Amino acid sequence: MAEQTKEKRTRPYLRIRTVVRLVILVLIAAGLIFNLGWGSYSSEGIGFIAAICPLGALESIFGSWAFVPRLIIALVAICIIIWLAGRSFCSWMCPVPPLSRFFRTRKQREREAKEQSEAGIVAYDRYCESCKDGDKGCQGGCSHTKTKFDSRTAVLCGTLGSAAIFGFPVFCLICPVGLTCATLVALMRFIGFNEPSWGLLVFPVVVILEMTVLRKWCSKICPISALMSLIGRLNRTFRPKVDTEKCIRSANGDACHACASACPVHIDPHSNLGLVSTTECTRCGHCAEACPTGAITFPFIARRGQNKSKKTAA
Amino acid sequence: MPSAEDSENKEADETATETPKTSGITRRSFVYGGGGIVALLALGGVSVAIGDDKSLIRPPGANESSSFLAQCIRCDRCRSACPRDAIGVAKLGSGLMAVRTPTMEFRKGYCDTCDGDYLCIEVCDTGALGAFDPTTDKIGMAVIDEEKCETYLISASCGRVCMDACPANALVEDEEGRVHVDEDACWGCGACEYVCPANAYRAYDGSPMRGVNIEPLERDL
Repeated sequence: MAEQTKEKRTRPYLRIRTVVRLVILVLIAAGLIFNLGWGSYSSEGIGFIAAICPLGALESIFGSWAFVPRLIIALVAICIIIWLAGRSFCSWMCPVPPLSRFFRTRKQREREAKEQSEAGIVAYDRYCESCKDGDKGCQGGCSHTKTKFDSRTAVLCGTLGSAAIFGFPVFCLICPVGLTCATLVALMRFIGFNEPSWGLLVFPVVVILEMTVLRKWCSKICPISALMSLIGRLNRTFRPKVDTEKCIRSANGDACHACASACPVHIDPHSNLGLVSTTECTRCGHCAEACPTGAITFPFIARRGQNKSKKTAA
Repeated sequence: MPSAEDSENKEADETATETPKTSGITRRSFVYGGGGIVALLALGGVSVAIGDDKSLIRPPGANESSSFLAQCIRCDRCRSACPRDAIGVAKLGSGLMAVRTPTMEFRKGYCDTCDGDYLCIEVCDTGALGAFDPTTDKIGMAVIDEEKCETYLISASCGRVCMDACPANALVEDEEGRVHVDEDACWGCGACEYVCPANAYRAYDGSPMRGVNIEPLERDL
């Protein structure tokens, strides 16, 4: 028991994610400061090899109707990465979620935690409903939560539409990811070249406004995550997998919904009956950390016979 | 396959509006989605109405100006790739369409083509900076400011460092020792402006001009 609680408290995923996010931020900042040409979140790489922002790439194409072969190749490459990794960018690289957390009040945090645990309860209730029909966790293929079009998809359409109408990437102007780097650049030029600019003031203010006024930026507005979700519909890799022998709900029938109640994006790792489909998984590992028996892993491909592959088989 | 499934989901989403449990979420989604679209259209409209600063000089390989603005995603790679610090960033004052795009700053550096490698073009993924050939393409054009260039002034005491710096041999001296620009040879690398001593330490006189300045091309198309 003591070992279990200890296991519960250590947060390996959080630690690794924090390190990865920081390392990437430091690399980007170093590239900016020492003029190494590594780029920013919008396009980062060495020489002609780069991971480009898929949304920026699309905006560029929609804005100019130019089909530059190199851009198409970069776009296909990043789509393949998203196809393999889903929305991992959100949890492992994006600077916005930590910023957003920083600007959240205690009350907002409490409300969010409450929403999370309620989402877990909804998922568990749905699971019990399906048990009544003798179908444990929808394994026979009853209605799992499907990927939905939501407000983010609408903003995505607006992003591409505005790029096409006005002939330049409009969303890039207010993208909090881009503006975070723009703030770094403005700051660096202020210090390095004694070059003050309104941008140094305006860029961070826009980001802070987006994080405070539009508190649900990531889940309701962000068109980058919408695009990753669309591509991620085809994703089958690195999804959370529940080991049904370890899981106390599957093995013992306990009323446990720790995983679903721990998920910040309201998915249900156990049987995909949550408010949001598992395609939205950002691989943050909260569920794996919350699981009392450590039954959740993120394997490259879930083997047949486990709950995830049953769904595709059905 | 996705499209059929998607439209189904959309329908399901719309019908879900009727059920009390999800109606709030859906209505909120509508506000966020609709608000987002309206905000982006408004922002785009305002940006276009304000316009962009046409006096900015773009890095080598920038296509005809509007296409450059359309393709550039403001990723900052070309600026940080430039080994000569010749590329700066457009500020808010240059207009919302142009803000954060790369612009040449010949006071800080000039284009030496990276020995023909053009690192800024190499790192540009979107094609905003395309191929550049100094024999046919130009970044801008050197223009002599006759009020500032020492060779036009009474003393005419200048070592003509611009002529030595010019890699295209585009600066020529007439019989009276005045410097002229050969507009066919000049491709706007900015070496002349970078080295020009005129006004270099006289920023306080209010004029940002040097004896020779790179000016933007009259872009047709």
